[in-house]
Formats: sequence, C-alpha cells, structure tokens
Amino acid sequence: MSKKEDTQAMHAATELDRRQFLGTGSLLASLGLGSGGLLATLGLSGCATKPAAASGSTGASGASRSAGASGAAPAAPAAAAATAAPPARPAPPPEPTVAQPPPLKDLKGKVAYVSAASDGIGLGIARACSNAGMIVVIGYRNEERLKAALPLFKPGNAGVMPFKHDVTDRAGWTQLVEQVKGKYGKLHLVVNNAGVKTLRQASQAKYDEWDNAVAVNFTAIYNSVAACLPHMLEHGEGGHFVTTASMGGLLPGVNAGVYTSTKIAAVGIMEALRVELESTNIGTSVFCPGIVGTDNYIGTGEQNPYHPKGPAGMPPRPPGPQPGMDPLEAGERVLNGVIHNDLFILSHPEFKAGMQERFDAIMLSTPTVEEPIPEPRIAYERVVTRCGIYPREIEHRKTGRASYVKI
Amino acid sequence: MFKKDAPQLPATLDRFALERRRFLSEGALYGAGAVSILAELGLSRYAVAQNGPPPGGGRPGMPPLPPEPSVSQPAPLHDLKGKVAYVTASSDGIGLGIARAASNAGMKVCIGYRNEERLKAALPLFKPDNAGVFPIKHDVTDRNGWAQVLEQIKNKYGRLHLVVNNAGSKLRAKVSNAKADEWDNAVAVNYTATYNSVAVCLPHMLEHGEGSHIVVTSSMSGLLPGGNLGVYTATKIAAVGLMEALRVELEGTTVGTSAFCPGGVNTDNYIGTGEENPYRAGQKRPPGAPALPPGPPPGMDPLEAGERVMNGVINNDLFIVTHPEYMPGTQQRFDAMLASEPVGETIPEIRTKFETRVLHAGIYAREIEHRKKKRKSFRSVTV
Repeated sequence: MSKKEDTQAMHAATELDRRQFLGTGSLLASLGLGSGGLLATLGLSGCATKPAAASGSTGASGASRSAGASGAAPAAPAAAAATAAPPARPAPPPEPTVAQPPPLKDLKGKVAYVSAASDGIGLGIARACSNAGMIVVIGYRNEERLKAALPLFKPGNAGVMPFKHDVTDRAGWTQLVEQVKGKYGKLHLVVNNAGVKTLRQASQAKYDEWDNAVAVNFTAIYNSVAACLPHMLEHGEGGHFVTTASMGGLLPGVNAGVYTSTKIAAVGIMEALRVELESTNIGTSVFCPGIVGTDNYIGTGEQNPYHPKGPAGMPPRPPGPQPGMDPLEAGERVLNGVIHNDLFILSHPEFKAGMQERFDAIMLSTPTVEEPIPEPRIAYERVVTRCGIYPREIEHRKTGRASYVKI
Repeated sequence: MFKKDAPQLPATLDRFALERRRFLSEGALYGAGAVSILAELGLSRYAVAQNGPPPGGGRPGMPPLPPEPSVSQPAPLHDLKGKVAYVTASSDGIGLGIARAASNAGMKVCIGYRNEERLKAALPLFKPDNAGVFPIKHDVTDRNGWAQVLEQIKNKYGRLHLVVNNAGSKLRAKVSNAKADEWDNAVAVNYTATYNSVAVCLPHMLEHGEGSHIVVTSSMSGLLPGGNLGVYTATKIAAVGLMEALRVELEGTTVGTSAFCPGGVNTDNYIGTGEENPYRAGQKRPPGAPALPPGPPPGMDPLEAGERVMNGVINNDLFIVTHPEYMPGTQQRFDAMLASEPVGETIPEIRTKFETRVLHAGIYAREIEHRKKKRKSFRSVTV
C-alpha cells in the first residue's frame, strides 16, 4: 500500500481529514470546518473560527486576536475567562483588520538584491526580477558561475550589477547597502537566497558544519535586516524581504537535520519579522519550494555527474522533462509572492498532505479535555495565545486569485 | 533504517557517492530520486537492493523505498528510576521544576547552573534524602564545557540517560532592532546549545545503549510566535525544528526526542524579576496599570511543568504541549501555511516521483497514531 493511501485511510479513520477542505477549490467554502473538527476532538471547538464569522462582510475575522480570544465563542473556556477576569496585562494595541497591504506592488524600476544569484534558484529569482523591469544586484562568490549567468539576462537590461558577497559577513552587508545607494540610490527588495547545500544530519554534523549552516541559512537573514532595514524604512518607498527556505522548512522529511532545522528556523524568523514589520511599509515572505531544477539536487560542480570535470565516463544528461521546477518559474513565483505580500510563498502543492500530518501531530499533542484551563492564566496570556498575522493571512488567501501569474 | 553496509564505490566517485550513499543505505533523503539519478547515470548497480515488492511511488522498475517503521519509536526511557539526568539552567525557573520532578521520580539529577546564589536557594527544594543531586557549573554555549560536563557525570554516575536543554535566553528583542551580539547570543543559547548537547552526549548515549532521551525546553512561541519578540520566537521555532529533525534521525536508535513547548509558567521570566514582579511582597502597582487577577500568579507551577516533561519523556512524546489555550491560535498558523499552497495547478508527475521520499515525514503519521492511544495527558511521576 502506498504511503498516500496509508495516510488517507488514517485520516478517514480519525475524522482528521482536513486535506479535503484544503483541496482544490474547497478551501474558500469550508475554511474553519477542518480546524473545527480537530479542535472539537481537543475539547476546544468553541475556539475554532466559525466560517460565517470568517467571511464576515467587514473582514472582521481579521479582528482575530481580540475577537477570537475574548468574544467570538460563547462555549469556549478562553472566551469565558477573558470576560470574567480583569486583564492582568495592559490590553493589546488595536489590531489591523486586514493583512498588511503589499508594500512592493509595482516592481518596475525598483532595485533588488538577490544573494547567491549566480546560479540555481537565486539566478531564477534574479532573472525574474530583471524580466519584471527591476534593477538587479547579483550576489555571488564564484566568478566562473557569475560569468556563465550574466548572458542569461536580457541584453538590453543595463541594470544588472554583480556584488561579491559572503552573506555571513556583516561588514559586507553594510558595504552592499552603501554601494547600492551610491549606484542606484535606493534598495527595495532583499532576497536572502544563499543557503548551505550540505545535507548533513544534526546528530552527526561537525561543529563547523553546524555553525556554517546556522550562519548562512538563519543568521544571514538577521544580518540582512540589520543592514538593510534602516535604509528601507528611511527611503519610505516600500520594501520587501524574502528568504528562500525550503519545503524542508515546513516538512522536515529529509533525513538531514542541519538542513531542515535551519530551514525551519528561516521560516520562523520571517514569521517573526512579519509580526514586527506588519505596520511598516516593509513586506516579508518566506519561499518554501520543493525540488527545483538546480545543481543542488543532483550535486554541484564536480560533484555534479553531468559536470564536464565530473567523474569520467558519465553518460550525457538524459533528454526530456527534468523533474524539478524551472528555476525561472520558481523566481516568477517568488515575485508573485512579493507583489501580493504573501507571507508563505509555496509552489509545490504535492507536499500539502505531509504538512497536514505534521500540523496534526502537533495539535494532537495538546492536553485533552479532562484538564480544565485555569481562567486567570487565559486572561493573563491573552496577548500571546493568538497571533493576528495568521487569520489575516488566511483572509488574504481567500481572494481567489490565481496562484501563479507570469510576470 | 541505519544500515552501515553501504556499497563501496570507486574512489573517483567518492564525493558524489557521499550523499547518495547516505540516502541509499540509511533510508535518508530522496530515496526514489537517488535511485533515479543512479539509473540515469547507468549506475543502478550501486543502488541498494531491497527485498520484497516495491511500494507505490518511485519510478517503475526501480528498487523500492527503504521500509518505514510502522509505529512511533518506543519510549527509550520509560523507566526513570535510578537513571541519570542532566538539566541545564536548573537552579531556578522551569529548569528547577524539571530537575525536581526528575529527582522525585527517582532519577539522579545533575543541575546545570551559572549563579551560585540561585543554586544555594534551589538545593533545599530537593528531597533531603535524595543523594543524587549533583550541581555542575556550565555555560551551555561552551562546547568544551559540555565535554567536561559529560566527563564529570561519567565519573560520578557512569552513564547519562537524559539531557534536558532547558537553558534559554530571556532576551526580549525584535529581530528588526536586536544588536548583533544579542542575536548571536540568543541563537547560541536557544538553538545551537541543543546541537552542542547532541554532539557531545549522543555518542555516549548510543555507546552505553541503555534507553536515553534528549529534551529541549522551547516555548509555545516555538509553535505560535504571538509575542512581538522576534529574536525569542525565531530561535524557539528553530529549537522545535531541531528536535523534529533529530526525531527523524534518531528514530531507529535508543535515543528519544521531545520538544517541550509551555505557555505561562510561574517563573521569574514570566512574571518579572525583582521589582518588575507584580506579585512581589509589598509591590505597588504603577498608576494606571490594570488590577491583577486575584489569587496566586496565573501561570503553571514549575514543578507541574517538570512533571509534564517527565510524562513526555516516559511516553517519548515528540511534542510536549501543556497549555491548550494556545492551540486555536496555533491552528490558525498552520491553516495560513496550508492555505498558501497553490490551488488548481497540475502537479507534474515526474516531479512527485522524484520527491516521493520527502512528501511525507513518517514521524508525524506515527506520532498521530501514538497520540491516538488512550491515556491521561498528565499523571504524577513522583515515586
């Protein structure tokens, strides 16, 4: 029996089948019902977002945090407590009712920096930016790869500037901002695309392997924010941060913990940044692709069996469709996400069922109904038991737009 | 799942083989994809032969995926009595609760601490007749320190069975305005320290072969980044992710893994330290501050939190969740992620075949099964 059939049987048996409501087209109609079913098994059904409330005419479900925690659900312990006990902390500031509007709606003439853009997904993103009329600064480390990449940009596009850059180098980030300001005046889009490609187990990695992966896949994002955000806030034209994480950042199926855990971390930092920057004109997105047709999935450089200097006697690369997504398409999907300010840019729907399993495993780890929740605790924690960016993002996703439009 | 009899490849292929060998021989990475690559290269002979019929997925004619366990990893440390625990930062707060719960359950407990004063205040809280309490001064970001800690524990008790990575940076800063050293320190303490513990302690645990367990104290913020404290939440999310990754890696061994994600627990961290603590004796509320709820501080008792951790350990729960009031918000986070998947697009079949091995992480389906077993979500472990 296939894994998929296994899963389906399991879900049917436990009434946890939310894939159905997340399946093609059915999301809009029944959002909330799936969570309702799962929450009901946890004795928290009162806390579920009601479909009616979620599609309220004023976009009121976006009022989320306060509404969800204090008023919307009469049967919920949370609701009862929040109205009964005086708040122990100052009331939370008023929440936005809708998701942050896209700060970078119009790409034309804007300036993008894409780290590690001399090949792979980064090159795809940089090309997509260039095709969309942006000025593109290409972060690179390897001259050879840069040389091979440059001809792929439209010949008429004068706005391509290579910048040699190790993303773990904080001084380098400062220099980048200075150079871009000197040459183009402003920087609008930062794509943290550099990532370590070594697939190592966390339980076997050497110290330097771990440290390098954390520095490149996680801390480099912080570095980019520390160096670029003040400038982006200052020029006031709107800006956007994107991180290339991976499906491994949402579903760590690969047995390579250094990679998956740092990618999960990368997703987390972008969510944290959305919370922090939601009220500014700086957008945030995390890109979580499945396989893309890059050197990464068949090995880089001489590790790549198709490389001219690779192992001798290799047969030529087979013709026909390659399994990965075209990097340029991946890049265009990233820009789709940027112009809509999507928090999560997902491109490979085949992972949905696996993600659902992860989320269900977490949800089912909740203490069960026989444990009452102390009401003062609920009141005290009111500020943090909801995070408004998520209901707003769900609303944002209900617009029914096509998931991908060529730019 | 962790077979070591990898096929020998010619030396020229060594580097290429390194990654491939792992997923061919250990069930890791893109199993079906690896087979396909090898086939395209005319190197199918290097693929690991499997017994039995191929399961669905993967390309036809290719060796099947490695077999998956059918149930979640049995709890390696289901009997705590007489076993040895090391709890970092356990001179106060949640760590102290965990150390006391471990001690009450009959474990020998090594107490990681940095502050002598706090240690002195903590020691009387352990049962007077428990001779197994052993304080060790330790900064979890110090890798040599970890090696020394392990040596000390081995010298004193012979073996180490449970490591609780409880030390956490309490820094409340935003990613968007944290200073570089604040960020680096939070990453080192909340995230990399857990890796350090694994790098140092796992070989010892695997070597002695008795059931062992690794826990990290993350936070509900590791599942739902609700507070506007990005440095904290991002590193706590990272800590949860690391434990999930370790479950994937260690599922076939004698070492269990859990991520502990509590909401409010009555610690200095939660209700404020010193003069910030509104519950401090004689404390006056600042003008305009809302009244406190009546009764004791509203969070969970640290000892109860510790007992819940022990419950998670003896059951080998991947996620130890204690505060259900956060789960509707958490569900919203997951729904937002799922709602971000493209809809109405055709998925290329060749791609899914290549991705077969990673479309699911079996640990989750097995954890769901594990959670479906009827049991109380909490019972006292005190003996």
